[in-house]
Amino acid sequence: MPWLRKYTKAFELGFQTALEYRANFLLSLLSAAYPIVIQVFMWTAIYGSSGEAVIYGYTYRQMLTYTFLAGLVARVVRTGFEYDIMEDIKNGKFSQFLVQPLGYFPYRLFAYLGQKLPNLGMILIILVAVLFALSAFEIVALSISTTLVFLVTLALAVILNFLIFYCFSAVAFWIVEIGFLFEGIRIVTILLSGGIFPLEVFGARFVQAMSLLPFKYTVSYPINVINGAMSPAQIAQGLLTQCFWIAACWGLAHYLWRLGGRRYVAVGG
Amino acid sequence: MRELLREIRKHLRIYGLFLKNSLIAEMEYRFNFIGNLCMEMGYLLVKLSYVIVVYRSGVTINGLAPDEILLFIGTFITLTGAYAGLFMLNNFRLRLKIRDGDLDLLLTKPVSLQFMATLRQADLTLFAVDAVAGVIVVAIAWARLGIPVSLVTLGGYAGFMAISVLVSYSLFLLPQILSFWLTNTSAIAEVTDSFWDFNNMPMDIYNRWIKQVGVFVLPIFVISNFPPMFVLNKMPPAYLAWSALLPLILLLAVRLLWRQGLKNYSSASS
Repeated sequence: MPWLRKYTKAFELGFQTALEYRANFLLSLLSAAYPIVIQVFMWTAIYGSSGEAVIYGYTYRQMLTYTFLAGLVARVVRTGFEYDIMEDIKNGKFSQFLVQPLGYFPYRLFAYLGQKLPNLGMILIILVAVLFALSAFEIVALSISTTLVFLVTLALAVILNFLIFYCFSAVAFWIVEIGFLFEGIRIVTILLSGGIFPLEVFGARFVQAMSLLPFKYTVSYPINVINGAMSPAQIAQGLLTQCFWIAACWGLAHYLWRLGGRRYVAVGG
Repeated sequence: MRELLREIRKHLRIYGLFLKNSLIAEMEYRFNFIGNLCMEMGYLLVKLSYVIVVYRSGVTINGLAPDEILLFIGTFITLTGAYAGLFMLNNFRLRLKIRDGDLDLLLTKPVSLQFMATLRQADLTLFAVDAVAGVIVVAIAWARLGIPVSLVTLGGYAGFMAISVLVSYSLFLLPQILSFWLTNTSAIAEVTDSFWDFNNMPMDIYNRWIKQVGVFVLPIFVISNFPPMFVLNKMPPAYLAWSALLPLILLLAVRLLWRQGLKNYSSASS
């Protein structure tokens, strides 16, 4: 498939970029471990002081599992290409994609997946180690089918988060200096996706409201699949909803980009 | 003595100009300013999510009631404004100034080099958001706890906050000074900066050993724990003495290391 070859090059480029900054990635992984450490101590203190076995619908072990996995899954689905898109639009580099036989969307998707691969490999090794440890201590009951479904939901979560941020990045057509806003959006979406605390912590209404938005299908849902907190019917429903959001965000992204493209003025290009 | 006072006055006036310049630079790009505001609100939301966890659980955690924890979190938010708004940017840029030889120009100024290199830039949006939100949270906790508003409580709290600001300045500057010897300290900067978040919750959630290390060895817990501990009457005498000594020790260490480092400055790129 010759049309695919140019995008595999984008994939390779992304892969090489990720390898170039591997020390940086390892360090960012280390700084990502701090919130997990703080939360583990916090939950240990809360469960120890309350005397209750179940808080917010989670046992102590389930809460610790959630905390560990939330840190890792949030890292797996994390994007970063939105800053590159901002630069492309700001500096007029986006123009070259308008004249070349290269789609910007597939180019970004392949570069993103290529950039994700080495980091993903490292995180998955840690994730597998954590899951095996949790399984060995009988905190999580791992089966081949649950693990496979978890990996499928995780892969869909990576694509969904890409599409969510591809939608957000279209704002760069209207506001050129949007770097800070991206960071604000990132931190709020982590919170809304359950990447810091389980959504149940914020109350039933909040959980209900979040069910109407795509964010929880990027972190909270895959974790609850492996955590054993969902029935097979709920898992299947979740998978369908994940697919629905992928289709919806894909449609929205294309609409926003077409709209934004009309505003593009190729400054500096 | 008069000479010293004159120097302090001069540096305060210059610091006022630094703040003014930073504000002008921030207001220049208004979408950047609004974006920065949104980003800080996002971070603030995450800090406040810890408050929700504590209140909704309704548990007294290791002897601390939710209202007391609120006081700790409010203090942490306020001090984050001071650290991240006034010092962090300078700390991160120091290694670049040393690496690129940008200290040359500052060396020629008739003002303290350490002052110029470590306090020149400020992120006042960040400072304002965190300081205002933090003070509101502290005021709510203060009222809910029924702590009397007196010269002793308010003055003591303010005094400990001042100590915390000094400790934040020197403790987080110390690893950055290593840039005089090492070419790239970005790794150190990232790791030490992440330590700041250990104050998001009161140190009482940690075990005894971690608490002692966090107070006496790597005194990160001194920063946001001591001011609320003082007003809650939970300050052991040993901590009281340590809080008086620590800023002096750290400021002295920073000064000595800075002077030593400066001897190593080679003005590489110029």
